[in-house]
Amino acid sequence: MIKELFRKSDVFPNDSVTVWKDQGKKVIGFMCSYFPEEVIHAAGMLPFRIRGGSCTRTNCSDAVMSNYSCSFARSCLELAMNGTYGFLDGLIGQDSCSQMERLYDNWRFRTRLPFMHLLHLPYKNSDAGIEWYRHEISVLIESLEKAFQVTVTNENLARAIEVYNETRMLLRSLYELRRNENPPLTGAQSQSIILAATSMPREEYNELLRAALREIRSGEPIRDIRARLMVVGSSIDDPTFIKIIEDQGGLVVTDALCFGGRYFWEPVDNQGDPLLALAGAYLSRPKCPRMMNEHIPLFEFITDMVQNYKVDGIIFQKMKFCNFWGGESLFLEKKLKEFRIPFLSIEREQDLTNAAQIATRVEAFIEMIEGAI
Amino acid sequence: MKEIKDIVEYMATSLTSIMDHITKKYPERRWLYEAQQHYWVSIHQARQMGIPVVWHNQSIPPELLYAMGVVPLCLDVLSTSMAAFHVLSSRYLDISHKYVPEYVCAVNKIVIGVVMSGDIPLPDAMIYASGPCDSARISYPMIAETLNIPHFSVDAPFQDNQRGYQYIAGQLKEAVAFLEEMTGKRLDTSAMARVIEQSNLSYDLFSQIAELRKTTPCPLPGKLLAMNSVALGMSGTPQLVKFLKKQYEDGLEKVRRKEGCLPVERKRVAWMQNPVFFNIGIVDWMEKEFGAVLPMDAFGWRRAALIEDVLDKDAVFEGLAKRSLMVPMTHMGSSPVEYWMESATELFRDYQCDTAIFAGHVGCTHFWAVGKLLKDMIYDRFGVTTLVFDIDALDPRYVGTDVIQNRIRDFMETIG
Ligand code: SF4
Ligand code: SF4
Repeated sequence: MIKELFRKSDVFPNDSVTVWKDQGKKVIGFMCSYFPEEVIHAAGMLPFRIRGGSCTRTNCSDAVMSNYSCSFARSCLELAMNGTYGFLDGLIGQDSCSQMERLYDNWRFRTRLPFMHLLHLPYKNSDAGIEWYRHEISVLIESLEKAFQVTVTNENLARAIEVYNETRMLLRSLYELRRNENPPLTGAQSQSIILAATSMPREEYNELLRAALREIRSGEPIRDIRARLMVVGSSIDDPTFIKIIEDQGGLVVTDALCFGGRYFWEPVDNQGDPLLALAGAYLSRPKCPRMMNEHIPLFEFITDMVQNYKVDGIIFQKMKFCNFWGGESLFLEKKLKEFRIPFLSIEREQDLTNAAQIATRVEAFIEMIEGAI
Repeated sequence: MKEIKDIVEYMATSLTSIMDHITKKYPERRWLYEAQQHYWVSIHQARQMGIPVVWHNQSIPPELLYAMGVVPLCLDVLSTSMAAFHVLSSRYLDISHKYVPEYVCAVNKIVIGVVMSGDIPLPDAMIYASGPCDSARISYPMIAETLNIPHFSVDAPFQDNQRGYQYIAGQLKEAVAFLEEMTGKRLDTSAMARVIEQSNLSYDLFSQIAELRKTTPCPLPGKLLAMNSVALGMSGTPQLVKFLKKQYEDGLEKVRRKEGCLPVERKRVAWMQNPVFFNIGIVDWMEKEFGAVLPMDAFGWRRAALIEDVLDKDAVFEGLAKRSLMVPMTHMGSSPVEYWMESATELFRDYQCDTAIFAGHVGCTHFWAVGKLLKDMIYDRFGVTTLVFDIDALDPRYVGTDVIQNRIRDFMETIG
């Protein structure tokens, strides 16, 4: 089953999406981990998270977005422009960061989809922000209902929350196994499993994940770990990056990534008004530096992880032109120094052109940690 | 370089020296720098007089702070003003690179360099909103958290409608409560009314000046467009009103006499992005060399965001919220690309521009990301080819004046 999950994350659209489409059902793309997928599920459609994957040539999108855009956003646009995302029936843009917003602008102008909607995500977690986001979600639901002739009821939403909470609970169990002294899976494998969640029907995924967990639990634990590492920083939607780290002998045991732990960490309260619950839960989930008033909670999330997962060192990777994570350095690196955890700060591109350099630096970092342990 | 203890003092002293020099040599140009001098001297004196100083970013309307009786310092004005002092700005940019990557916008990096070097007294509080871009959104909270400055953030999603204004207005009210607690000052309705009246005069003048600039030949020089960015820190002050009034009167006089700001106007240039802050004189050179005037730029102030009832607290806060979204960089940069396109369209349709230049600031990754859409739109709708090249608007070491001039010269020669 675990292999099956890897396969689902590797190619897109995978066979589950194809089967879904063959049944005449719709697939809606979304762009950010702050997007409440439950809403699409409740509308009877499949939410699919946009990613650039292992897209290595971005000739078309470079010409459109320029080389001053983050290469994650450019890779996503490249796939939109070359037709890879032709299976989408709609796209929900978000102002998660300027690059994502501009990705949405370019997508709208270049390859229009039958349904396109921009959802405004607050930059601040506050009561007013939650109320704002609740309203935004309700407007989205209205436009989905109108565009696709569907009805999203509170019951459907509650059911969707239940299904997605089950994923969260299962993925927490997966992360629990990574706390072991000798975890039964690598960081790259763990990320593949999470990626699969964002790109296939959720009930099917939960079933596969339950079976995979049984397999993983009875699997061979990993030995000879030179250092237990945590990865934080910009979006990583391709496990190759983590694999490069692990090829140097480190094991990535946890992360603070939006295609990682931050994607599923906290459940959504399934009582009362589901829209308020979704708005509140998504805005309060483990933080991205985009949230203006949540830098201390983000740091605390990282240090809790360090303690709970017995992390020896942090890899802080920043996608070139990612202002949020680049700017976060000012505060985060100071705090990490004060916390006395070794960290390695690196810049990278989506296509990992500097893979060899990353490998060398990680190798040196691991040696430094070994020397200190 | 002489050691600097306090950058605000340095700016105040420098502006005063510039004024002394101008008074002696070109007294007719005094008005150009009076407002700026007043701005820096007031901030410098505030400390000595025990008046609280509050740092803010360009998306927080300074009117609110003037009305509270505190002295505002707009951090974006600090860096854009300092860009003209090359040795100084380079020093702070280099310092900033120890803390953040080079691709963070220099508007924010200069501030980071200044605060991390300790060359500025810390304020009593700091308040910032989420416009205009990621670089600002991350830099200001980082500065506040790193230096433990009491701070308040305002979420300002770009929704140019009543709901959007009310959401921001609610937070501005919370910001006032926060500032009252931090500074001991109170927001008084009549003081607010006085400040808003002043700011209404400025906004009205902005829109009247913009109308005058539509005239052919254009009555006012392009440099003033860049100098108008002082409004980010001075809206609500009589000094800004005086500065704009003089522009308006000069422009009106020229229009009456059917004269332009140039002896012969050959081209009308649509400048699509930030001014070259490190050398705003580049537009003087364009005017002289090619008879190419900038009637308006895509970021130019031109809308009259008037607040009708200055005594109605809710109306005032909503009006300020609207102004927060109307700040040029935010209006064009936080919004869907159609806003920038519409602004460009106005330049060709209403200001009769016939030439387009996108000297894209490298920090503005979000403008670069839709630059091609804009360029294509200008060509498709107006048949005009846009000159596109990259600069760091605050750092001449990236691309210097001579390189910029060569690019423009080649282009002008090509289009004839
Ligand atoms: S990596 Fe950074 S800039 Fe790129 S999409 Fe993610 S948050 Fe935005
Ligand atoms: S909009 Fe551009 S110039 Fe203004 S602060 Fe942001 S990146 Fe810098």
